[in-house]
Amino acid sequence: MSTEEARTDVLQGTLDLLVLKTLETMGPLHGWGIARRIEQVSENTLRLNQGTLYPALVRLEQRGWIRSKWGLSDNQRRARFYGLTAKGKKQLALEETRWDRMSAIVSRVRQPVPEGGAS
Amino acid sequence: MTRMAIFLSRLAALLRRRSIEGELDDELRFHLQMETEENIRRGMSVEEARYAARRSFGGIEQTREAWRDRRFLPQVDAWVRDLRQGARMLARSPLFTAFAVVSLALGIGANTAIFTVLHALVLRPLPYPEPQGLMKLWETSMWGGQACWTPASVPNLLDWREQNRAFQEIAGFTVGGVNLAGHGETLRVPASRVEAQLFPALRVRPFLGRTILLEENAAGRDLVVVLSYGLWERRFGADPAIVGQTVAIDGAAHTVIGVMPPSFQFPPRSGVELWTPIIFNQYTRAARGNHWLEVIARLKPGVSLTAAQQQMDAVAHRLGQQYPEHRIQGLLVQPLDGETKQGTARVLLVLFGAAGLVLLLACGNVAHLVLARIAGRRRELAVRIALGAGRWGIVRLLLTESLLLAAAGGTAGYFAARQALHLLLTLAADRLPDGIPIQIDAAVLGFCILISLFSALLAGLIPAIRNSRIDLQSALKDAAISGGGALRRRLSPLMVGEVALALVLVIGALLLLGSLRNLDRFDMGFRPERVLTMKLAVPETWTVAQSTVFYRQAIEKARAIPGVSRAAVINLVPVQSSHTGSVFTIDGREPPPPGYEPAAEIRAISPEYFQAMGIPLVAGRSFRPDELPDQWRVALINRYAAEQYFPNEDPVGKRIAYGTGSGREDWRTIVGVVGNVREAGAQSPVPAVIYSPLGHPVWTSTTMSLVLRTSVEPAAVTGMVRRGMRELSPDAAVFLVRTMDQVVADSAADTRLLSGLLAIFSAVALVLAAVGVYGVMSHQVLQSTQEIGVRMALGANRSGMLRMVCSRGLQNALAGTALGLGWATLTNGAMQHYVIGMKAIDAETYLAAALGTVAVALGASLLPAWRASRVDPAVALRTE
Repeated sequence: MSTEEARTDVLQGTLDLLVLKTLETMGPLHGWGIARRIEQVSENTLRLNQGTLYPALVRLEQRGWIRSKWGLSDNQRRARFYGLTAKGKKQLALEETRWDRMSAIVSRVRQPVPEGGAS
Repeated sequence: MTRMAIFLSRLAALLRRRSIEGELDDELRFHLQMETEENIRRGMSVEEARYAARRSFGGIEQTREAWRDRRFLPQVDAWVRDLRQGARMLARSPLFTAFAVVSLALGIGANTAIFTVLHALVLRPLPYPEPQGLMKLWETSMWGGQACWTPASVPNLLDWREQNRAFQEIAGFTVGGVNLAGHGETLRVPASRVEAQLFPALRVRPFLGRTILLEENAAGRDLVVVLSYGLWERRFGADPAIVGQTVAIDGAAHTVIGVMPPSFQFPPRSGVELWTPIIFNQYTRAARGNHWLEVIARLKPGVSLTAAQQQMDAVAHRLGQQYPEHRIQGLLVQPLDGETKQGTARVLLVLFGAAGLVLLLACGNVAHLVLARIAGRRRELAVRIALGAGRWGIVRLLLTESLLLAAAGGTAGYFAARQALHLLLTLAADRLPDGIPIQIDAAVLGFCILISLFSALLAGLIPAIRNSRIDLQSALKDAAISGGGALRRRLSPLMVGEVALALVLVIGALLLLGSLRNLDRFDMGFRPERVLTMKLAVPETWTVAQSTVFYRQAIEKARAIPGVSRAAVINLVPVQSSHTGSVFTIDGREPPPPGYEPAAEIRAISPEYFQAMGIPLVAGRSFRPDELPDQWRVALINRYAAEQYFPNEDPVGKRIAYGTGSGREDWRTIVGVVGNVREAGAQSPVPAVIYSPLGHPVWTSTTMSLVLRTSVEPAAVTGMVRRGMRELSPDAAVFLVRTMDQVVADSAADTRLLSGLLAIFSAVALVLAAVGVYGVMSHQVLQSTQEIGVRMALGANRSGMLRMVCSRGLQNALAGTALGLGWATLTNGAMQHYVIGMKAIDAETYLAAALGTVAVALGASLLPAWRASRVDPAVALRTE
């Protein structure tokens, strides 16, 4: 695997985690709903390029972590809803552990250098 | 697993691409609407809201693109792009494309047609369950000092069956013909007499009724017959109540007991139409030295061919010790499949080889055309590489082009194959067995696709690899002088190879055409013109005395017909076969060691045979009309037998006896010597032959050939002779009416078939090679335009340029010729079997073919040479 792919993987991994977590807490949501929710939860600090959500959704669906169905939105419009599968739940747990471990490592690395920081 | 599932889901998505993309559009539209409305709710104007929604979404087209790459297979898209571009490039040079497609179609078509026949006749397994377990058993013995196989004798067969532990079933059979009485004329039908064990050994059940029972092989039972499906349909109108009815076979009523299924053939590829029980009488059960039974056997499960052979060696060894007087040498176990198709396979392999060469030539041409075009596109390719197209990208582009060509060529080739197959089946009609469907099926289609792909690879990979590393600098900067010096380059491998390929084919065709010419002049040892022959068959139940009377009546009746000048019968007419012989003993000689006794073909003839056939009497006298074998113990021999067995002495007056053993009483006196006859055709050497008077109990068979020399055209008397013969007996059959000219022509049927096809192949090959040479030379001239211009500006004259280009062509052609001659010398030995009147490596033929091929190559380089001589130096130097 080339380094470029590894880098996108990390980024995608983050997005994957956000989407899976959102679906776990909110239940089935359409694409816009997911984007909206992620922005709300991050109190609009995370500017998601909403368009990147859709390729990610395809990927998650192909892995069998989420499943999509056409349905009606709150305002009675046809929309595609994404929901978490059992496999997705397992994956989410895995991702969360990994994320926790990752952030723990990052924090530990940061601690001994109080001033300066990573430039 | 997941990867595979994802790939499949992407692949499946490609099929519903439009609707899936539509769904994405719906989804994105919904997203933007929701975002816009949300923005309006936040207090933006409609215009602002829409704009903000788009901005927070990011690039819609990029999203779509990224989504597509995930949802579908981006490689396929790239490939479709390559295909489109390739197709555009090909469409831009229609002449090039048409030529490439036509030459590939010719090559692929020829190969596919021949593969169809090869597949149907040779590759397809025998039509029985578990065919690999079926074996043929032969006795081996020494014959005239040479090892050979013979059919089995009844006592040996019975002992094998009793003593072996390797086979489940062993069954003896004979193949011949029977006279089937019908409406009007008695029909001759190919038939087989078989032991009851045969059908279980083949593991085939009847379509109607039953097969033969063990007890029906004993004498004195009711006569029964099993019909082939084809015969039942044609002759008996597919009557479902046929079982139990009686039909007249060889003049005796037989009860139909069964009908075999449509696909059933036995022996394989033989066209036999009915099977009757073979009956062993007291005489045959005792005659261990009488070899007449073919034997088929089914291996026990788990027993290998080698193990079976070892076991049977032991059995044969035991029998040899038990019956030393029969000199049982051994026993050969041979797969049934291999035994039945040697001849066909040999013809087809020669044809396949030839068709393969044509395809190679076609691929070579296409490869060169692609190469030449690439040279014109060096700059384009260099730009592509400079812009980041990888080596693989360029290879893929070029491969795609040749793949497109091969796909078109393969499709056209498929239709060409259908036509070619039709032609092939017509040409080879009398060489093909009845009842075996030869048609294009899935396997043939697969083969066609496979060789198309192979052609694409061959024609595309060479140029692709050679050009994937283009020197960017020179290609981009110095396009003007790139390719200079092409005319001084070393030999062109493509041109040399193509000339060589074409030459190999031309040599093959010339050898065979020369053989056919030789056949017309070839001295077979008799005068075939105005000789009519036909087979007369009497029922097998007739005694030799009865048959002899019938044959004599036939001769008298035929001789009385106006236009017939001589009439005779013989058991086997010449140039067909030489497998009816015997060992013999010469009176007064020490018996030679076993296996080295003198041996000869035996022919039973009526007195006028030599005059009728036009065979010269060399010494002594011929038979007299009143000579019957039991009264006059006489024989004639041919010149070869005289030279072989009576060197430096006069054979006339010497005494011989058939068979071996001491204390012989049945001596026959040699009364004359006649000229040699090619008994087995022009390609086979003359055997020793002993002629015995008609009426000998062994050699007077139930089928004899009537031989008539006519004073008019044979066709004029044919009808009358046939009618006359039919009137003699309702139980006898008349069939296979032919002139000896036809018999001679038929003896070279394989040569004729091959010569026709190879002539076509070599003509195609020459055209392809000529186009190839023309292409290479034109290309070189075109690339050297500048160089030529410089030379001319420096004072070279036009005829000098003409000479220079021609000599380049000649060099290549000569190199190709040398290669081709060597190649043909190595491979054409395979054709010796079909070559008549000369060796397969014949200096004259090779020289003629070489000269012709060089002439064609030189001719093809004339036009480019002329173009080179017309180059205008001013124009050549000014333009690029």
